[in-house]
Amino acid sequence: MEYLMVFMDIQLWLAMILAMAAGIVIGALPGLTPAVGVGLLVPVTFGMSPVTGLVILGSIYVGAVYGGAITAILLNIPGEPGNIVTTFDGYPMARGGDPARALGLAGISSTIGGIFSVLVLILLAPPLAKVALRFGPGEYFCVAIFGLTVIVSFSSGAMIKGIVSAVLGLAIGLIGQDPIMGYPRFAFIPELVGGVDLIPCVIGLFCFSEGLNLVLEKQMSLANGGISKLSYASAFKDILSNKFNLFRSSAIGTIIGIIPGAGLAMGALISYNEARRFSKNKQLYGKGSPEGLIASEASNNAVVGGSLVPLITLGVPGNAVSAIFLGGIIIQGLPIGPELFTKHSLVIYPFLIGLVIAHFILLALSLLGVRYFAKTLQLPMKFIAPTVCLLSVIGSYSVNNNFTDVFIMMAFGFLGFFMKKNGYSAVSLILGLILGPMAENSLQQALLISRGSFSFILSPICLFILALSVGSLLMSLYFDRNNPCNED
Amino acid sequence: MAVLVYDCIFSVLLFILGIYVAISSSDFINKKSHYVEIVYWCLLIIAVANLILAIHKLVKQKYDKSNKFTFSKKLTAFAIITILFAMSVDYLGFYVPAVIFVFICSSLIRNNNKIIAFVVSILIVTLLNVIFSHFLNIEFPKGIFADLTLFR
Repeated sequence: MEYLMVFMDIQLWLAMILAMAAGIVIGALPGLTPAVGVGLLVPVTFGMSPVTGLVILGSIYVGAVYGGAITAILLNIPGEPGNIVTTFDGYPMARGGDPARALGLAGISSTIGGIFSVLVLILLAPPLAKVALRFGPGEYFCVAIFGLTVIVSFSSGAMIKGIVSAVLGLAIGLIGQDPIMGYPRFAFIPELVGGVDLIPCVIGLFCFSEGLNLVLEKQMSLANGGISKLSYASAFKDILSNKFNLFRSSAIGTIIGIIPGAGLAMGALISYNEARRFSKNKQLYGKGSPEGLIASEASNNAVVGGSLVPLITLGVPGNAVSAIFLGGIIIQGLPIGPELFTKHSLVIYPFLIGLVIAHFILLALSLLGVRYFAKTLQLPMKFIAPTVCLLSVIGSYSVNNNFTDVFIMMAFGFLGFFMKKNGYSAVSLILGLILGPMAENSLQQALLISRGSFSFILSPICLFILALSVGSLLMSLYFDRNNPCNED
Repeated sequence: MAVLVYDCIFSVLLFILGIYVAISSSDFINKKSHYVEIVYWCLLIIAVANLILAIHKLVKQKYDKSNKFTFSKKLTAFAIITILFAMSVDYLGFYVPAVIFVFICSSLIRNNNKIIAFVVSILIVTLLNVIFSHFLNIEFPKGIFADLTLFR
């Protein structure tokens, strides 16, 4: 009861709603990640009480992770890499005249996934954090291999083209410095010595290329024969019929969130892949399947709680947002690690309860906003296409405030447009680009530690992940072979 | 047909990329970089596989004739305008080129009322400018209009 007293303050509720709304807007804008949103608010929380400050940071984080789903569903533009998977089924569902249903399902599954991960954070944080810390370079390399096997499953129907895209992504990931020796390689201009930034690539491949695609649209607007209203009953029915999918995706998202550095995109990709593998309606995936949308959104928001597990229990930030959160906690004069739960329980438990409440605010705002967000599809195409391209330019510029990123974005935009038109998978390319540097870094570190021997793969965690990878690969190949629509 | 020709060109380009990575990596300090080796071998093998598959389909005429992709004039113009816009922002600042860009592109896509198109372009750019510059503190280039507070 003592922990709930904080929430009697109406100002805290107002601040949470405003932070959530700001988070949703930031998440929806290409190039602006949840880290930007949380980073912008950290100085604002300096003068607030620790609970208020942390709850507001949590609210903007939750809102920003969800916000990317809105543009992913309505315009096929992921607000950030984690929402790429949401475009697979969210966009076809919206174009099919059901944007309200897609947005409603995204809001509800994000809420459930997020609450699941916060409950895990409250109940199981210390033991899970210890397991996550047993991940060494060898284990990270195996996680990257597991991620790469997912590509095969995503490329069902055009496997060679999917693998071509992924290998191209791996090759682009080589640009920059060697992770161990530090010498520059394949960097033709000084700006590329640090490597190719992921955000301009994502904006180019998904936003700018979509802008070019919209130019060719013959319709006056994206709404294909009107927009249906959201039926709460059918949305909740969809959610109930996907309870196992929701649970599995939330669990995967939480676990991926706990592993430092794994990220939102990886969680959503693996959850989507598993949802499809266990689905009875595999043929609907990629064509507006509610199962796929629920899997990706539940997993995305489940990463929120998961990423806070190693931070709060051990003081280890697993991603950029948790690192900024760490700053927010330090600013408030709080210790990091187990002491938070013992000496400062009056701060940490209200914060965790606040995160649960923030998810309910997210549910309310997302469901209330559905009809207004969906109207985006009725805007005239002649303004949507240039606005998408303009946003792509601004979004990529805002990453490092330089125009090199803008031109990189454009190059990837043209490449993405060409790839889409010729049946190559932009998702596989991005997956290769994300997993390539992670695989290289961890492989080189593991080989250094084991003095050049590959014996590191014999650790129990590595063997378990590699067994999962082989199983995933074999099942994908089996399903692909039995798919009558496949191309190769 | 065109898609398969693009597949062949793309495969050849990937093969050249693989050769380039292989040759360049021999100059690296740690010549036994397993990962780079794995990547260039993957590039070479997958490029050859994709090329063989495309040629096989071309020979067997196993292509979807409706799946023909050509560059339209509208798309080419749109792409050129976008590149020009990005290049001009550094010199002319963000606001003016952005308004001109949205106005020209909207007119290019559908040629309707010019006045409405111009007003909507100003509104879109102003809204984005306010969100990014004022709320998110992202400083856009000011260019030659740096001294005019209106365009900041």
